[in-house]
Amino acid sequence: MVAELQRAGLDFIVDRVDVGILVVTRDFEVVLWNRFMAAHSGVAHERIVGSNLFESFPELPREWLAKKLKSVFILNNFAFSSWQQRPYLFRFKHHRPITGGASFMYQDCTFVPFKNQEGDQDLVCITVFDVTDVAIAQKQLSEARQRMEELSNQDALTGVYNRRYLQVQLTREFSRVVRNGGALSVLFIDLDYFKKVNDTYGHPAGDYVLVEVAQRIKESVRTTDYLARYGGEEFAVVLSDTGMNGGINVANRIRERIAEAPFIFEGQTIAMTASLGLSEYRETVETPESLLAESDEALYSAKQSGRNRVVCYKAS
Amino acid sequence: MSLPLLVVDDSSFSRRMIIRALPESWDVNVTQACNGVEALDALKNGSGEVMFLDLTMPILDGYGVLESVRAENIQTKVIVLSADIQPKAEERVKALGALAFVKKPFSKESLAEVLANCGIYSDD
Amino acid sequence: MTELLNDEENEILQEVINIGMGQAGALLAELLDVFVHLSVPQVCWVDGNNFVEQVVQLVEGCGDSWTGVRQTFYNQLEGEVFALYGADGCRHLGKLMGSDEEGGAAEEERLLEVTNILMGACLIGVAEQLNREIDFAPPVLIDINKPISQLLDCRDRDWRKCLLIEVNFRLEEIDFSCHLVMLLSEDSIEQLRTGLLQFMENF
Repeated sequence: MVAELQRAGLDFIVDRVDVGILVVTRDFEVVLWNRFMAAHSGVAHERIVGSNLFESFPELPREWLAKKLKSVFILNNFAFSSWQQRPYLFRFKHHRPITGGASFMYQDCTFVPFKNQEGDQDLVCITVFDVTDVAIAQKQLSEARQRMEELSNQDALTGVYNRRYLQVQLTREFSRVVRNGGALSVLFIDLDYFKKVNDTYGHPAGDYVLVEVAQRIKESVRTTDYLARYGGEEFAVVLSDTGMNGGINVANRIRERIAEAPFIFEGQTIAMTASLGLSEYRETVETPESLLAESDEALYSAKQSGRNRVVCYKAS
Repeated sequence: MSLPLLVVDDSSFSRRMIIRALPESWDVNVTQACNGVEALDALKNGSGEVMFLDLTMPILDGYGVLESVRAENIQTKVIVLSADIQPKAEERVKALGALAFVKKPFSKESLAEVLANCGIYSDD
Repeated sequence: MTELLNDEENEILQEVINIGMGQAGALLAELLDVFVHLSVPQVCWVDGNNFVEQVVQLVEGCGDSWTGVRQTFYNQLEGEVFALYGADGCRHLGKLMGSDEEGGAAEEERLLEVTNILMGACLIGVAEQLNREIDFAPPVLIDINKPISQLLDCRDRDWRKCLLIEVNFRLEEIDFSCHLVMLLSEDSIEQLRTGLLQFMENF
């Protein structure tokens, strides 16, 4: 009596538990199909049990499932499938039709091999867990994390990289050329008499000029270069795969782009020039910091020798 | 005179198990080696008319021993006792001249049967 | 090797692991239709402080480009197992798994699948010799192309000692190699000992 009740209780639990449970044979004949599976798929228990799984679900990844079952049977071990790599096995609608953010149910599945009571038939029990809530939360989290990472690498005013990120990238590029050879140069750009803009036209005007200058520099470099606002009115560019000759061209282009047309802020015309210092990697340059220092020294010479010009670092 | 028997296995436990599983009435003089290089030295000293050989060992593995035995034309009857039970492992060692392949873990009875089948020793 | 098991028990353990790995290799050979080269399994005890160093030493993992998968096992034997793939170790997984679908998710899925197979085969091999029960949680990808120290980094290490088993799989003809690092918790040592004694009785 107790055994019978227990048996009925087990059947009830398997049928009503809030997890999809199905059992198939080696040949994908469905042996068990619980209420969760029926409710979400619209395929009734009576219709599918005894028939081939793919008759009712021709869209299932047949080859993938066949391999999964093969490994489960040979190794006599669990196999898994996770929503992160395979969003779902059965395409079901999800539980959040209103607040969703997903058009289907994300699923984690487990495959467990076992034998029928007589011990003469291999079966696999597949459990299907609805992990839509977890998946949505995790996706939102990773989007937020990515956004945060972008923000932490950015200069808030101009939107180009910040000094910290430039140093990280310079270090990376530097060790790459040390290891593999190749060219690398660093360009410093400092606006001439920028303080006067703030004093004469006000800080909003100064900020506007910085944003526009950043934009003009950005248009003069490649997407593989790293442009950062290094300090107040100072920008720096790590020019990857670029030596002194190429660097001079880029530097002159930037100098011309800044000087060629004045900046217009609230009807006021603000003319601007920049001084630029350039240095390139050589075997004698031992650290990324010394490459930066050489570029800074060249920039100082450009300022000293009259501004609005490009000076290349010369080893003395 | 006792038969020189060489037992090669990197695990001392495993060597003990092998020696314990030998037929009691078999008159042998056992030498032990714990890698392939030691095994080849022992063979050259005449300590291995019959050799029980493990496959997965440091320094020189069982395949290496079989190759050297063949290349240097050393006279010995080899029975491989291995935990690596891939069908290809058995094929390979037999192609290299091993008389039999015994899967670990093995019983005293199965070892006696293999020895009899190879015509090495039978107690009846 | 340790104060937690005596010499005799350690020797049996080494043998049980050899046999378990051998059986795993044979299953893999059947499933993947390849010849598997097995290394001599390394067994040692580690604590929270030297765990990462030990692993780096065992797999000679000083390079900075490793891919790691982690899986938890539980029941009578419990612990965690890590699969570590060197830079070239898992490049040809597609060939191995008979699928060449490209893209991050498909490649990750293959990586998890092959890891689950390796880990399952090895641990079940050992658990069967010891007549102990074992179950698995799903494998989780830790990270791709990171130094081992970073892959194994965890902040709240509250265990004192555990048993580390390392085995290296190489496949013939396909450029594939993987280090499996299995860590058995101190709590399951009694179960392990019981299993070892039972194993001995069968001889």
